Amino acid sequence: MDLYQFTEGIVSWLVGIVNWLLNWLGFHGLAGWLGSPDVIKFLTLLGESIVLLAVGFIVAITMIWQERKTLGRLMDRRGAMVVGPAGYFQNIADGLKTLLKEYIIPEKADKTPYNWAPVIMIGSSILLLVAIPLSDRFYMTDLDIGLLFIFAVFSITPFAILLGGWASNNKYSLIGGMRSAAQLISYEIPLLLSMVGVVLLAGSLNVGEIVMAQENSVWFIIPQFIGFIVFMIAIVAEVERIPFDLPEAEAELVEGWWTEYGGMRFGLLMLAEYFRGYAGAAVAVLLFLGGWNGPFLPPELWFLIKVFIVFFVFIWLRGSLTRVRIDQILNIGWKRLLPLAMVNIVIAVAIKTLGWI
Amino acid sequence: MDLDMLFFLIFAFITVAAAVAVIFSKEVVRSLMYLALTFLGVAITFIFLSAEYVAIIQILIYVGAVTVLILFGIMLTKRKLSGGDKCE
Repeated sequence: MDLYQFTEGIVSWLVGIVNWLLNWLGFHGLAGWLGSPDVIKFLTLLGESIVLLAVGFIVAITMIWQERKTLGRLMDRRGAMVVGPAGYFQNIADGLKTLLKEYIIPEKADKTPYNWAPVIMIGSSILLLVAIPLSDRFYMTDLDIGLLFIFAVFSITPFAILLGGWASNNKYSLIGGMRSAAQLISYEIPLLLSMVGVVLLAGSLNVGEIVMAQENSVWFIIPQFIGFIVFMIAIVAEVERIPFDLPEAEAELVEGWWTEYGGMRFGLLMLAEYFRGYAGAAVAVLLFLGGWNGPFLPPELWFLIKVFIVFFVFIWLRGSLTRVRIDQILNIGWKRLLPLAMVNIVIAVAIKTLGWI
Repeated sequence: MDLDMLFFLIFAFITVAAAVAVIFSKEVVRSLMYLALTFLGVAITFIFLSAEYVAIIQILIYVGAVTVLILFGIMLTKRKLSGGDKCE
């Protein structure tokens, strides 16, 4: 039973109850319309999206909590620990706090782009969740080009960032936006190239089929180790986490391109950041770490465990490394990662031609 | 009328309206936003033609790269905001 059938069961049951009520009240026409297959399909898709959003939201909240606790331990302190069990509800309290903040728009800002940038940001981040399956039965869509879809949606974000940085009418925001766009555009290329090796080995762009290919042979981290390293570095740059968080550099640029955003907009941008962190870790798991394969536990749980392990690596990097300079970051991207990704493609082609996988 | 047809007409209207707005908006950045919307609309049209690959590539290249390139071009040239103050 997959997610669609499960949701359909629940929706049909609910619609049955409402229909019984409507028939009892005498609205037979409305009951008939509500019971028609098209309406049930629509409601099922709606329910499925709500389930997916809820899963993404809970994972993002857990990631923030994980980051606070792990980072605290790395810095020899205890992290959030007052609200809820082990401080888990601290993030929810912070989210509620951002809701209560005043809704400030800078006077000299260009209003329309200023308001639309967070919308594009959070919208595209949530859109990422659509293409990420938790297992072979827990998915929203089964696109043939799912992997390409994920990276296409990733590529929308520089537009939103640049727009937000420009519209705030602030030096630091603009510098942050420019840095961000330059970094995202130059790291997209090694990212896509390191993915090519996996796609060659699996022979498909469908996420499910890539995981199946790993189930039938070995996890692609073994034949594609260089690709994995390149991918991890590039994805850390792509989701703007600490060794590469130049767009947000607190010390030099205040908060980079979101300096001027306050209140719930800031909360949404923060949430979007963690949604993208989740998506990045999930893609790493799906491409290189065998997806939802694992013994004993249910596949969804295995997938989430692996995602949290990859995210732990992100936090570890954040705790132990310092920020690099903007020229260094572009040099690493173009002069180191790009040739390495090319070498990785050659290895993938050799393995495929020799028939080892 | 077919539901597909209805949605196609809605998205086609949005695309054409955005394309017209690119020409008629006073702010350059705003017309760029409409341009991005037009590209997205074209991508949706490709999905209606069941050419999903082309649609995704349309988003990846046009929305992800071409729009950002034009935005760079706009930001690196001097201009004035509608208020009259010079923009950084």
